[in-house]
Amino acid sequence: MNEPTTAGGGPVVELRRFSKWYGDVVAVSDLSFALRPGVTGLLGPNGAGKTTTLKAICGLLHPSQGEVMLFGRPIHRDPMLYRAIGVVPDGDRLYPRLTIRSYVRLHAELHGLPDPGAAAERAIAEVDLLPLAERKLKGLSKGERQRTKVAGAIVHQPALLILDEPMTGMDPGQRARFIELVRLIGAAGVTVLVSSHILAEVERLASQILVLVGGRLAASGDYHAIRDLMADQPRTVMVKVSEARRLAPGLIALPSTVAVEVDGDALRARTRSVEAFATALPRLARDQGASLHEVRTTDESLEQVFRYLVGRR
Amino acid sequence: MSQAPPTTPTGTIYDRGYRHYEGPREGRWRRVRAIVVASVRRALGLKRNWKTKIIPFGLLVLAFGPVFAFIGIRVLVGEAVGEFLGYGRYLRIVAGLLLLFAATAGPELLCPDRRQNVLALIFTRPVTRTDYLLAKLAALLLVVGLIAVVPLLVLFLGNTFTAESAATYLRENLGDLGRILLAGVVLTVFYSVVALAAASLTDRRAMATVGLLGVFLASSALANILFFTTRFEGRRWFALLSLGGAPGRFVDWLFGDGFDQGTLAQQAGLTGPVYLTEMAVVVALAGALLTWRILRLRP
Repeated sequence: MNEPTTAGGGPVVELRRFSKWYGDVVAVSDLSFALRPGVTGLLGPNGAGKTTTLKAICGLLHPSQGEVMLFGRPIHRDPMLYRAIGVVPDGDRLYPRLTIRSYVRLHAELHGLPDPGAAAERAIAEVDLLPLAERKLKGLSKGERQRTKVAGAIVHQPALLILDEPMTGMDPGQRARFIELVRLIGAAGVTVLVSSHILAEVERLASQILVLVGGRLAASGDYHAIRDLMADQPRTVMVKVSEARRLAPGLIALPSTVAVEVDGDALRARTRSVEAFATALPRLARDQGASLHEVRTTDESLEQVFRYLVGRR
Repeated sequence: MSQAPPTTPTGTIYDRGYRHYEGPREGRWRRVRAIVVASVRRALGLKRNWKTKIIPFGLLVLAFGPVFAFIGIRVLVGEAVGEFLGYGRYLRIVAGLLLLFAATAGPELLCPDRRQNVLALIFTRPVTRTDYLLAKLAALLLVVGLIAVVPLLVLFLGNTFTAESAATYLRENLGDLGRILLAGVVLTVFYSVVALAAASLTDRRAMATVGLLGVFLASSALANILFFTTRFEGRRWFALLSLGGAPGRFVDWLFGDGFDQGTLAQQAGLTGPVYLTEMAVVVALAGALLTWRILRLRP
């Protein structure tokens, strides 16, 4: 069996019209996307099909229809592909009586690494758990158990890392370090797929997102680009200006402007075209003798994008 | 989140070790061995607290203790102390321990993996369900074989080296050595496969243990009731209903000890090969059930 590789330049993960149903219940329908190196966030409300999709990518369930390809090969029942995959499933899936060191070492042995001890030490160090390496898993905090699972998943330095709700239970400091770790792994050319319901975390982790709603793909790609495609959703622009009241009539007269609110020196405009607004604003300010201090859009967050995508279904 | 400064060379990322590992890998045997070792440790309670060691080590003491005690006395007193129980009789006693040991160790190997939801972790490694099944079976065969074979081998060696002439004892009793190995292997396979099959049906250890012991006891009781309360030509075959009776009867036949007077086995008059065939059929059915249950495991 050949070592899994993306040397041909193809996608690391590719779902082709993947569907999965359980009896009469359709969990995921006609899902197609491809993942390449870097960090991608998988988002969706409860019941959107995230776990089903992740399980299919991990080869833990068979598609009812379509194909799930990893490194150009079907994943289902091809255990050699797991040499290149690291998986952190959701929930507490650990042997409580093992120590961190023995748990991670066991995973190194299951991957057939020639020096499982050294690989385990490196992975434990990556997740900042070396001082606790001899502690039993049952005595660890939830965040520490999550990091242990991550160590077990990266012990063989996988080319594809799948993380299902990896930051559950971590404190803010641990989350910050974990985000940095995942970003570094992604920057090093590893394909990382992170499922999380905490949008702020995904926003910091991943620029690429996949949004599942009702078992279907609602959006994919860079979330800023997705936001730009939401043409029917006016965007809010905050302007700090010396003469806000004098500037407001000019702005409301623009065809793309939906509403303008003035609050002291601040002016909040809702526009269907940020580009047209940005073009007109300096001219209007000059005409009114106003000084612009700050111009920024305020609803560019991933949460805004997510709410919009979920709400329109 | 602090961003790396633009001047930071990208090579520093690779230096931290995130490049995909494409070096050599050990073969399938290494992966199976990792599960076997972890499972043997778990079955014996090694590297765990003392409570988990009570049952396995208690049964080991019961199996080995009399043998070592006898050999010690033989060393001190010599052949004057006479024969120990005899290999067959001792193995019949050990068979009871084997059932208890397999009924506790088998569920210990399979049930927690499902109960603690670790199957997803195992099956997202390069481990097939067949690897998993073989590793669990190998682990249980090892620990059950430890009781089924090793005490009698130690007893045989003890008898040999405490005899007046070791060479003479060995020459005259070499057949016993073969019988010890054959009976030990047969009982080990029988109890291990049946115990794992029972464990594959539930994720609760206690339920698997009690269920297995219950089936063995109930089948023996049923066989006796049916045999002794009916009067027709073919009732002797009711003896085969007793799952718990077959190993001991096979051992009695193999070592030529004969069945106890008045028992079902003695009155039924079936021979060792019949009981061996019965055990083979049970192992085949239990093995098929075990394989089916493991292959359809869904993490």
